[in-house]
Amino acid sequence: MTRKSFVRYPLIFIAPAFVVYLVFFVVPNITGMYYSVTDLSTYSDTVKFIGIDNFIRLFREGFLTTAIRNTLLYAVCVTVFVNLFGLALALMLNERPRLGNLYRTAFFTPYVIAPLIVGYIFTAIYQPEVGILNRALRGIGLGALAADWLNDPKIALMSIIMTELWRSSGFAMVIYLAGLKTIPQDLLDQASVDGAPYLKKFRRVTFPLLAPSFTVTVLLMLINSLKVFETVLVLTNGGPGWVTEVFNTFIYRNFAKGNWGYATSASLALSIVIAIVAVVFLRILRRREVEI
Amino acid sequence: MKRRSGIFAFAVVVMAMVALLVGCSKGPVKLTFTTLGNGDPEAKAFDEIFAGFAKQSGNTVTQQILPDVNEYENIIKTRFATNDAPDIFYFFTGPNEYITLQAEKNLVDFSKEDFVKNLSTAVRDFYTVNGKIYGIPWGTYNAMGVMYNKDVFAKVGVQPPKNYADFLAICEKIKKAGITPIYDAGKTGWPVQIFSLSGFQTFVLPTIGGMDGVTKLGNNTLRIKDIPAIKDVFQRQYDLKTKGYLNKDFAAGTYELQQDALATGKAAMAFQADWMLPSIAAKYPDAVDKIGFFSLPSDTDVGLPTLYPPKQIMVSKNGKHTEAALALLRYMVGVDSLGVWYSHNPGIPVYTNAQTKLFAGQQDIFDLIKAGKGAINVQLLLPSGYVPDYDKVTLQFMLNGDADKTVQLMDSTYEQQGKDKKVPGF
Repeated sequence: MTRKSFVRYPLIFIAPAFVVYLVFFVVPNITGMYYSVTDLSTYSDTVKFIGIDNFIRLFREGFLTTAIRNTLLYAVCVTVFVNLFGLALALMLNERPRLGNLYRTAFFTPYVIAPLIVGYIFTAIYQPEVGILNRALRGIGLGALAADWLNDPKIALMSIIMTELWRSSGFAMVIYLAGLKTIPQDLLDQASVDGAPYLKKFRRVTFPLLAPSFTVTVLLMLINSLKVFETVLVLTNGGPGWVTEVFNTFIYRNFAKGNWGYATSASLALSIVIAIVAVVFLRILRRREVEI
Repeated sequence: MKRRSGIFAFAVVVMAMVALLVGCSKGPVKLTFTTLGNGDPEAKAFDEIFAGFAKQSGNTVTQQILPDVNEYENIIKTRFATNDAPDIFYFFTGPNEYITLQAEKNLVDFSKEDFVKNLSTAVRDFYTVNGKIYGIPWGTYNAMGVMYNKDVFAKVGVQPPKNYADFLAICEKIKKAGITPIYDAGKTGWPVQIFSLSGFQTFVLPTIGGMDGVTKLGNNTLRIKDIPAIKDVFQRQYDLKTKGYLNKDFAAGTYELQQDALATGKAAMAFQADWMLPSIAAKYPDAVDKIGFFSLPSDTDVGLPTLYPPKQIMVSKNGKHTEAALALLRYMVGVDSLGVWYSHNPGIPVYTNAQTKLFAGQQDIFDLIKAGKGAINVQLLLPSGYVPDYDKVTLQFMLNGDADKTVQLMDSTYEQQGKDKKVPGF
């Protein structure tokens, strides 16, 4: 095989995938960046360059501030609690292998249900009069806790977060379970022989060795939750009013109104936010892995 | 000889294929009529009309119902933008929608059609812009105001109010009788805006010089934030909540629950329009004629109904089946089709050749229209439309009660919408 063919043959094989990547990812992103600085809309056939007017408008109108605040709050809460619950479930299933497959499947199943369907299910569960959540609370004498979960502005966002915790904890559990299986048993046995209690073993042996799983789960949850859309759309549609508006529902609303240049500028802003958050957290978590 | 016969055979085959293709293209057409979900009576009426059209023309019509009223406009706009426009579709009221859909580029002009002569003059004039008509009004003339349960009023011993103070006194009396005075549908969203839209005619129009003020709003020489009466209307609406006159589950209330509450007497009143009556009639046929209508009263008199001309049917100019769609439209505005429509959806007709029966609440409105009372909803009079996401604006206001912030928001978003739609003056 000549040097030329050594280079050429791999290129031939990756060319189709590269073309698809170019056409469906690179080109739309570049054209998106162009349209974000224009007045592209359904109301006119002409497209005019308007500089950073769209970006100025993004921050001048109050909607984006609310959307950013809600998105960040959602992302932080979901990332922290999904990891907590996922890790707790993984530790529990790891300690009791006989519970094994059945519970693993049961906890993971919500994650394979589409977010849209989960939204519809929880719309029924959260219904204040006949929803099973309030009926259950009333049934066990906790009627005082029954609330208008999706329409009370004080708790609507928390209700959406709880829905996502139910859906995604199983996913984190599976990653942590896989990580727990890679921890050498003799390390844990050694710690037990040395008299270390459970919590100390977890803090000094188990959790540090789970660093790669931790990095993956935290990053994935952070990035996915910054992109939240279907769950909010179905449960509250950003309401009541704009109380639960997130970045993607804001973008969707403006695309739907026909303000395409403006909506594209919001998309670009979201991409930049996600990229910054992802890079920063990746560096911090990778450094932590290295130190450990 | 062999070569000539070969060429001849080839020519025959080509001609046969062309004839086949031409024959195929003249076969029955499958049209799609796109509409927004608005209850069974409308869907049933359309189905019956389309069945009649199919029998007459051989072309079939599929009714495509898009269920989300709030997203309907956005879906239609997107379909036009992606060259997937529906052949023929039902759309919201008002010639301001001509700007939304770039009518000159996208829609068929009906001004030269014969059936335009059958429209009532006021409605025909309302839909004519620069001599063109891009949407044919279809359905019933509605009015927004207060729908009320006559039995509840009789039980409590009250009559429709003569002024706003009277209205508040009635609410208090009903509340003391243990009945919800007003049921509002916060979860559905759009019903919450009806109070302030009705209030615009009653409380705001007189302070801005009537229709002159509306024209100034339309060309941006008058700003929303400079009209104190708009803030006053919002304050009145919020006062209804703080005084306990609204349903306790306001934020969870839906349009369906609102209909149920009004029909069964669980609530005495609803800020609504008579378009709810056909749906109530389908579920509570014995109760529908016990529902009446009165205008939102002003401080000094009984007020004016806020008129809402019917929605419109539009035909895509560049659609796949424009001619067939036009044929369907001509069939729909015929006497027989109108008869089918109004048998399922009784209401005030806009066609002079249509016969219909009216529910009691609609008769109240028709009497007011005949007496020359009423003003068209401000949303339909402004070229750029009124405030965008107005249902969310009013719902947000009813949750936080901040009228100043709400008016500022309305002003800035209305201005921006005018700029986005490239309306002169913005």
